[in-house]
Amino acid sequence: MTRFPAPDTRIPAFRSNRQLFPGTSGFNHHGFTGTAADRYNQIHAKVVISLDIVERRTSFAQVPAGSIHNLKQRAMNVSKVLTIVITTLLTICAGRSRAQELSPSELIPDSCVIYAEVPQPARLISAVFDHPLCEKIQSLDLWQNFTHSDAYRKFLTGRKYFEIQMGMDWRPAVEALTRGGIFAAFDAKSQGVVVMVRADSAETAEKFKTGILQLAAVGRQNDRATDEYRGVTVYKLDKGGAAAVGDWLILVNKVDPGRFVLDRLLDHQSGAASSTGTLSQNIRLQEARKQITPDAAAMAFLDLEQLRSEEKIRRSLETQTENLLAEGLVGGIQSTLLNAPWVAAELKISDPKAAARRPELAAEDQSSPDVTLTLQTPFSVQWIPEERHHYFGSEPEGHAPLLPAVPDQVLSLATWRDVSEMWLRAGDLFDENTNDQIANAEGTLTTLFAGRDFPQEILGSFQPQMGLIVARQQFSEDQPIPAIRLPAFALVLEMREPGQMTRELRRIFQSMIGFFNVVGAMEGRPQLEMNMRQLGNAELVTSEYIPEDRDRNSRTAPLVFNFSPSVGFAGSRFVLASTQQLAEQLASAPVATGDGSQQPNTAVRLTASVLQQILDDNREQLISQNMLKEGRSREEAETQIDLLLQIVGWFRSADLTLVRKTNSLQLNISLTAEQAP
Amino acid sequence: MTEQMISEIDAASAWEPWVPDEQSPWDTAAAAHLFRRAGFGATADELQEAVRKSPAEVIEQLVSGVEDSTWQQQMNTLADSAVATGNVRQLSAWWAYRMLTTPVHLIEKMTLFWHGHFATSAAKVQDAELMLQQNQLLRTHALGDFSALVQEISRDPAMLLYLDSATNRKAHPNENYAREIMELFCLGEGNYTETDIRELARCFTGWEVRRERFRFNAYQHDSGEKTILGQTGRFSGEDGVRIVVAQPTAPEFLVSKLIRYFLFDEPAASPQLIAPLADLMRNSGMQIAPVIRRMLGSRLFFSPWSRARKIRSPVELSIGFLRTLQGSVNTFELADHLEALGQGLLYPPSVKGWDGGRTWINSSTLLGRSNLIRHLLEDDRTRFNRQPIEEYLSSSGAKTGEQIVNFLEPLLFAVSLSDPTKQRIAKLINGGGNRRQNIIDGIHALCTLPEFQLA
Repeated sequence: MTRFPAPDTRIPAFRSNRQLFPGTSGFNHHGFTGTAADRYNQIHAKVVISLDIVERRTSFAQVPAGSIHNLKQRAMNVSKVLTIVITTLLTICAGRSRAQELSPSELIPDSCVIYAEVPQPARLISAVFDHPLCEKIQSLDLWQNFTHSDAYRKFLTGRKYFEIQMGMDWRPAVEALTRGGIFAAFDAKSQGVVVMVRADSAETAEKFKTGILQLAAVGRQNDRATDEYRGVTVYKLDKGGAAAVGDWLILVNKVDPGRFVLDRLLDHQSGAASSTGTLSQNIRLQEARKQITPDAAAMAFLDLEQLRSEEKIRRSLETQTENLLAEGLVGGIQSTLLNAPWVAAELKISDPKAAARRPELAAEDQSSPDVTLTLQTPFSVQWIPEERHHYFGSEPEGHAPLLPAVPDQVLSLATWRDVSEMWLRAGDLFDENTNDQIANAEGTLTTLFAGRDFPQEILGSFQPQMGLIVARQQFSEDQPIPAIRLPAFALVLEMREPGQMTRELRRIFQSMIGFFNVVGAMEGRPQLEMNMRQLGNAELVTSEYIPEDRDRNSRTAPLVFNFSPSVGFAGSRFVLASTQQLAEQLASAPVATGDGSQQPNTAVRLTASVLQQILDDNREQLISQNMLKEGRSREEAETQIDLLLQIVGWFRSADLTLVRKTNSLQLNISLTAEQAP
Repeated sequence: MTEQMISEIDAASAWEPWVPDEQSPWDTAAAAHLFRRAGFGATADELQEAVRKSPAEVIEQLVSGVEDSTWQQQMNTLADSAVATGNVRQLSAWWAYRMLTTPVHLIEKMTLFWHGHFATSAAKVQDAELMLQQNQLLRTHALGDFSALVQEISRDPAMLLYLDSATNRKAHPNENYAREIMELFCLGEGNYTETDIRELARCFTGWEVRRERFRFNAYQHDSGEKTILGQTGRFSGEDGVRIVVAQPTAPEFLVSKLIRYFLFDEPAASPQLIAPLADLMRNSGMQIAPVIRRMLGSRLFFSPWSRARKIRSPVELSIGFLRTLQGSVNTFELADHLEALGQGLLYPPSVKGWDGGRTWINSSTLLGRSNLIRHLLEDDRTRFNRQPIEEYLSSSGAKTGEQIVNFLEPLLFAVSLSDPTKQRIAKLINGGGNRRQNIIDGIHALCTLPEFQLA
């Protein structure tokens, strides 16, 4: 029998001693044992055996006796030729088997309900360490102090050890170690987590295995550091273990998923692999993958259909939201998750190196986010029950309004919610307790709104498109300036019947101010003075607190001086603002232009530079709170708060949009950093 | 100590200046006793510095100390920030922070005394600004003229609101404040009559609180003739206060409370013991500082009659523990814990203030006090000289269990611990496993000893 050299010397050595995966007993395995050459020889032996069977089967046939010897001889010759041909093919196949890579999802069980992958970790590393923010962080005093700490010194020692073991600097070493990607999954059946890392080569994985895993395992006390499973050394780590097979590094916290992954890898190497029972067969994962863009830095998949088979999870998704705000925020999403088969997530990051190479790009595309997380799920309007039509609207779907912009705007929220319908359907949406509270609130609000039926006549008089604008307040020197400077905020709504409602709302607002004055007088608070005026096409009804003499020039005035409640009317636009200034700005702002049908269901934007200014306005207050809460000295608290302000200043904006399409629902969250100076 | 023992104390020599000798030296234990009573405790460095000076010098520093203007400004800013939130709980936290960081121990200790004396609860007043105003008033007059303090507190809006005296009309004089000023603030029971109360109440008619301000409404003032404590005239509210404070029993009443606060919880000081200090107060124009100076520097103060003769109040227990070890902490949580233990800052239980003494200790509060110390030790935000406890002790040269116990004993305890107790705690600290946890367990064990409850 001819023995051929091993086709791929990088295939790890398999020893014959069959030991158990840590923590298991009676493990049933069926792989080959021995070295790569032995493995090849075993395969070869199998081929010969099967030819022998063919030969014997032939002999069982009724063949003339004289011909038997000749036939046998010819068969032997054929056998030798076939052996050469088949072994050559096997050699080629064995070589090809490395090329025909197993996808990571073919290594993990189909009972995995969460799966995530980072195909090119080097990109993420670059995004973090090559980003201008990284340099800024390293220039912080806090970071500099940290680099002198024991913890940092220990970290450096560990990193140095890693570098020595890997024979290169930490960054290229990490990049080499993760060149093929990082993959993680959660197996619902075993409640286990699998993390798989694919290195650039088996040598790199081997270096990591012998240098790091061994050390980590040896560090365990009073226990065996390693075990063997089908000839693979498994390093025991707590309840799980770690192993390296070829260029794969596998880390698990439970035995079962680890065993599954090793079996898959080893079977694949032996050519006996099958994708049956693996996550790759999951049709929902396949569908989800189609939504992931090629340039995603990371993706994740959530198998909702499998998850919902868990009673607890299904019940939690069916749980009522129990209050109006939560219902308005997530009601429609909850119904979608109750029916959708999967959720796909992708993370996109900008390439700081590319931006640095082409600075004109940054200048041109100021709004290009640095990090974007997109969550997507299939959607069907049939999944949204009638009582939740307030969320997306029935066909055609509702779109958030285009909101006017004001100076120093820190937050804008535009959404489509039929609040009137939600309120009126409260009986179907909430439990008894919440409904009692809503009934009580309705009574109070009806009184406050001059006897008008609150959900129908007040909320129902507005279109479902609504906006919330929050902006930094400017205080003039001749006004009392509050010790805590709150931002101004305003609701921007569209009246269904402006002609009728303008008058109604004006009168209601006047009644409310009168009511506040009566209550305020009883509690010794300053009184509101009303005013009405025309501003172009806009009409304003304003009010402001009249300061007492002691507060007139105060720079630490009470909180109420943050407010000058006002309303504005401009055509069908209605503005209810916490300050006169914001009411003026929003009522007189031109109607935003654009294709309203392209608007998402909900859009939120937070502007970091204004947030920084608002925090800075309240720096003294933040320092005080920090001193009292953390027990810090003033100097320490100042450092802490100034650091917070500095960090906020590194960012430009954060955005969130909820987009409902015909067949999908998408939530996008993005963060844009301030450009490097 | 019994009443008979107290009566046996020679009143004349009791208040004579203490002169250290071999039997009773001026050492760290004596200095720690002084700082525990005149403040909330002292650090090892402060004690070392104190013993390098004479007792008289240290006492003079305590009595005449002035808050550093920069620190004072910081505290005022912090108070304004707390008031700006409109939340009185923030103000409680602010006061705890002030106690933890004040460079002038005695002022803060006296402010706490006056807060218990002129007890006003934010639970009823519900106005952070007014509570702060009163707190600052108590601090301003902490060691000053008692007469001026009573005049000011009588017009203090928080006090008047607390005693339901925001309105006082001549047709229906409100007797609340008149009763309290005689019974609780100046004279004590048995030193006035119900007629005196009614007549004094007439003096206060027209005193009102409007829009958080004191206002005198002349139209509602009864300007008729009144007879109070033997004096007759058309007295105003100010006259009424002056007459009450001028009563001979006023300094005696106050001195007896001060002796209880600074020297021993029980029994009550005898009239003979009170008399010399009452005379001193009277002769100094009702000034507080001379009385305190005499008390703190007296033979009685440094004698066994006074040492370890008080039960630590929750504030003394927690602030003392932290100050002694240079601790800083989440003061919001500390304020909440103090309230749970019965001494919420700005939240006294009644107009009588805190009873103090043995009332601080019962099965429930004893457990609570123990839990408070453990919470302080285990909370990540609690730092000792900006370090975790184990690093703080190491940097103070206390590394082994024995060293730690020896380091802490003179700082935390008014009495010496027995050797077996010290060995047991040291063994606990030296035990295997997590060093930080062992140290925490050891200190916690120390602070659950009955001896730790004594000041």
